[in-house]
Amino acid sequence: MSMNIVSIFLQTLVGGIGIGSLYALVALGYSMIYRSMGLVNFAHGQIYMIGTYFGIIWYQGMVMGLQVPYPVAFAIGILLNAAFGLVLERIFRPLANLDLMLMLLGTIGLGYVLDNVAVITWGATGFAVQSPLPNTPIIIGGVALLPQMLLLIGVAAILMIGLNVFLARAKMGKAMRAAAQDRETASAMGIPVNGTNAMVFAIGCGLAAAAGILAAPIVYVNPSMGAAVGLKGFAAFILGGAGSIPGAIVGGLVFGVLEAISAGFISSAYVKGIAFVVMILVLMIKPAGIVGEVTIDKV
Amino acid sequence: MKRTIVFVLVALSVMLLAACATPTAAPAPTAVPAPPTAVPAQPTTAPAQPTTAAAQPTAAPTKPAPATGEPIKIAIIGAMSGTNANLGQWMKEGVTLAVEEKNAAGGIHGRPVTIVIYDDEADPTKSVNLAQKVATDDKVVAAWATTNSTSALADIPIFAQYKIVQLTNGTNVDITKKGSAYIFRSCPPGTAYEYTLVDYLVKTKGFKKFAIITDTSAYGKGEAQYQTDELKALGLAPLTQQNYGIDDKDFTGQLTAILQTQPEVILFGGSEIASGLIAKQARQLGFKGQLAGGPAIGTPLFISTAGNDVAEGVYFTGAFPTYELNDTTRAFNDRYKKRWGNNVEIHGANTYDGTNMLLMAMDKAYPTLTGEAIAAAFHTIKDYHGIQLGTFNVSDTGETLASTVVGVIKGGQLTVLQ
Amino acid sequence: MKNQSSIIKWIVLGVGAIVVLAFPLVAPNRYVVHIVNMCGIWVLMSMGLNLCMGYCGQINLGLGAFWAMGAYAAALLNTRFGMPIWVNMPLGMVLAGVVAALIALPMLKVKSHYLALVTIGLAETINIILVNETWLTEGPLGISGIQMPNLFGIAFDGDERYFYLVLICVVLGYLVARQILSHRIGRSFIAIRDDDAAARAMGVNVPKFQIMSNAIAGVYCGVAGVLYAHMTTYISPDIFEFKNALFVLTATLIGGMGSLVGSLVGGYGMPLVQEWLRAFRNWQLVGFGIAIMLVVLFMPGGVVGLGQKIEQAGGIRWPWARKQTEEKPKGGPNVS
Repeated sequence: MSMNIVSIFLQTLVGGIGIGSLYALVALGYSMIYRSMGLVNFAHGQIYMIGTYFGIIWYQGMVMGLQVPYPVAFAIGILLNAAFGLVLERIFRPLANLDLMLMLLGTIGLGYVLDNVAVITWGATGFAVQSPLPNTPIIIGGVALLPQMLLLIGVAAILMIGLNVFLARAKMGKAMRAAAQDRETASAMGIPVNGTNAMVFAIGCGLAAAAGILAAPIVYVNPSMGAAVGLKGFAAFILGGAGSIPGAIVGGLVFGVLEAISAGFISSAYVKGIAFVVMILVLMIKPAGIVGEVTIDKV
Repeated sequence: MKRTIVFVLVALSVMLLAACATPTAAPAPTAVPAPPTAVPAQPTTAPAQPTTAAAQPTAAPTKPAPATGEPIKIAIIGAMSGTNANLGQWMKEGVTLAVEEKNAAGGIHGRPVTIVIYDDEADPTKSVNLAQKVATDDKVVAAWATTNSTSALADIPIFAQYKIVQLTNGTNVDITKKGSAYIFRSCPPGTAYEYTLVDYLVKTKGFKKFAIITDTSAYGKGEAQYQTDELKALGLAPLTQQNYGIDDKDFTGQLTAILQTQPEVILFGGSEIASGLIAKQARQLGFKGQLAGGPAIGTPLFISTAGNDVAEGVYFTGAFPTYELNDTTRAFNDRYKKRWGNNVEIHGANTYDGTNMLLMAMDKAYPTLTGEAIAAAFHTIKDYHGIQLGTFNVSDTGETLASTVVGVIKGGQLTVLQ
Repeated sequence: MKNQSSIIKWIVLGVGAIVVLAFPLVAPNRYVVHIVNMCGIWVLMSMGLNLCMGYCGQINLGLGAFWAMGAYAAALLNTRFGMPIWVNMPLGMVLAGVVAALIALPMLKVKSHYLALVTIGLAETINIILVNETWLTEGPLGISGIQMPNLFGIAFDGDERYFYLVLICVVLGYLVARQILSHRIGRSFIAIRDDDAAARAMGVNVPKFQIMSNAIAGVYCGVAGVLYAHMTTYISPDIFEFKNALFVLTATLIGGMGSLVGSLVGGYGMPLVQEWLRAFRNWQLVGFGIAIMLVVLFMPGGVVGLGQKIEQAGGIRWPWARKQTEEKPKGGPNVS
């Protein structure tokens, strides 16, 4: 197996992009929810976890013995989580424009609830998920590409591009942007602000489920899978600029690649530390994040 | 003025709440949906055990009458949630089964043993608090604490102080080096696993180039240390050692660094799930060499995480590679499966062994059932044969089993190498 | 009338003091005292957080790191050099305070959730260093064998005795905090929290006070850390994870951010409630989480805030509270 420095670098890069796509999807979820109601949702990691379960249980045949193909499970998981998001939005609506700290506390409470409901329903021990695609890697130019990883990157890219297009072109998407920026005017122009906010929240939750279901065969499914990913997704969300869609994507990818490169080339033990330090340096230079914050109308 | 009143009211309500807080907590242990945890023997469970008594490894008393005296309390403190939840589950299963069997056979001279279970989430702070609790509040005479080496180490001074027998299946060697007369390990120490493994790989299979990948917990660091030590003793050194945090799920960076050094063998130092994922990713990155590891690898969890294909041909060491070893282990598995619905693996087996030794010690120490007396009796156990392979001889420091065997995974099953 | 209410005040205070001081003697078992001691430690951290965040508006979620500084300083000084607690305490306080101040320095311009993230990140980094630099900190195995303190010839071994040590620290901490708040520093903090641009315009040296508030939070956490190390005699890096900082934050918010009494309420209340809930594990933690959400939706000022609201609504009329007692200014937090 030839390993020259270029292929090593590329290999690490691919791994970084893979995990970075995961972080990006999670960060997008944070961003969408933030745009929807100015709420920083610290329970997003748990929503990611619940969304994963919502989808994977169908794929694993855990629901009344029915086993559905992976793409179907994927769709079900996203829809269920999005519906769940609609419910959450309704609950959190009063929180929407409060102090950061109160939001924090409310979402912490939600986190407790989701964590424990997951344990009660599905048990504390998790399970491994086999990939629907073959496990043998595709080797291109000395770099091994794992099919599931490619799937993750590919689908994530499609979702991200789709989201951007939707927000820019589709009427509903534009309405969402308007409602986020200036609630009163939007409302005056006949945009159902509450309804649009709810949709945005739901999209955020759906994205989290997508991320989790795609990642499940690579990582391991258990009720604590959301904690670490939630924190890193949050970091990516901030790094890119809170509320910014391209920012979340950039933030997620940067964070993932940073982690992979530090693990491979610097020191595997200090990975988290290095990633955070770099992130802090970036914030010191550009306090509003790499791409910049999107101002949300907080009445 | 108002402030003062509030102040005082706060102080008073705190004291009251504190005084009321714990007694309610003590009797009801972790509510787990499955079988009951506090087990005073009921007549209903009695019929089940004696009929399968054909090959019971423990010297069960011949009294078939269920125990009805004053209960003897023991505790389990372990990781019941979080990444290590499996370990807690297995410990609960092994210990409970042993206790239930003993109670059905008459308990300790007629007295049943009951268990309270606490979740320390593999967090040493919580573990220490819980150790304090079981010592002063529940007043147990013995406790399993815990599933993880770090927490076990943290708890040792407390159990020693309160003179409570402490059992653990953590593998870090420091556990028995703290000078406590109350700590007992129910499985071989990490060195027994890793030295045997490395010896086999170097001396029998002739490998020379090793890379190690492990996590940053006490367990992981310990295992990697023992692997390195034995390699050095054989005149070799690992080409590289890569580390990851316990919750990490992507190891591309570490694996790429390892693959750069072109090792023949990758040694795992971490736990089941992470090692399984690493094995998968290593194969996916094109590694064709040998994979091997110690205690965590000889488990069904590793196989199910890695997948049968990836796990094929992986070497491991252990004292209980599979329940198919002999009639005793098969009968044991039958009982275990009947009770819990799944086959037994090493943690369930070694906690079962440890509990049986504890019960033996209690029998010997009777009627003085204090921690001190039980610990002293425990130290006298020699030439005991349990479920795990080998002979148990309890040393002064609390070690019980000193050797392991090498095995290999074939067809998704753990098999012993002859 | 004034005499009457102050006599009552002294009686109440006296009774309260007796109950508190007698607590370890009447507690059902040692474990309960141990828990209350731990609460005291949480309270100290919560007071630090309150001073920094509640009163000065500086978000600082890096408490875990400052606590770590205090605890590791005490642990290392004690196990390596045999230093007693009265040496470790000031050193731990200084170390933690300095680290907190240094962390604050680059972040003066960063705001709100960015600040939260930065402080979390720095704390995580320190956590990683603690785990990996084994030559300094023994790594994941932690440091054990820390001696319980021996002050003025009294051995504070055992939770019952330690209770008094913790109590003294909590009371001192509270009094010091009150002093800080009633002087110019306190007013500057509040001014900065409410509107830092205006404060700056009025000549307040904003950066200086920002750093100071962070340093104070660090010092309080350092004290908590030293107490913790000497109490449990064993520390390991896992202890300093972010979830503990999150716990303190939650306790403070529930008790009442922006109120020292809130720290007491939250710091003593929340851990005790969690202990009580331990028996029921999962289901009741679900209830706990729901309760937190309800608190947020309906009691944004925390327990203390609720108390204020009742007071302002003229609800509960304490028999000794006459109308002459000054009304708290509306909309402001309870400076108590």
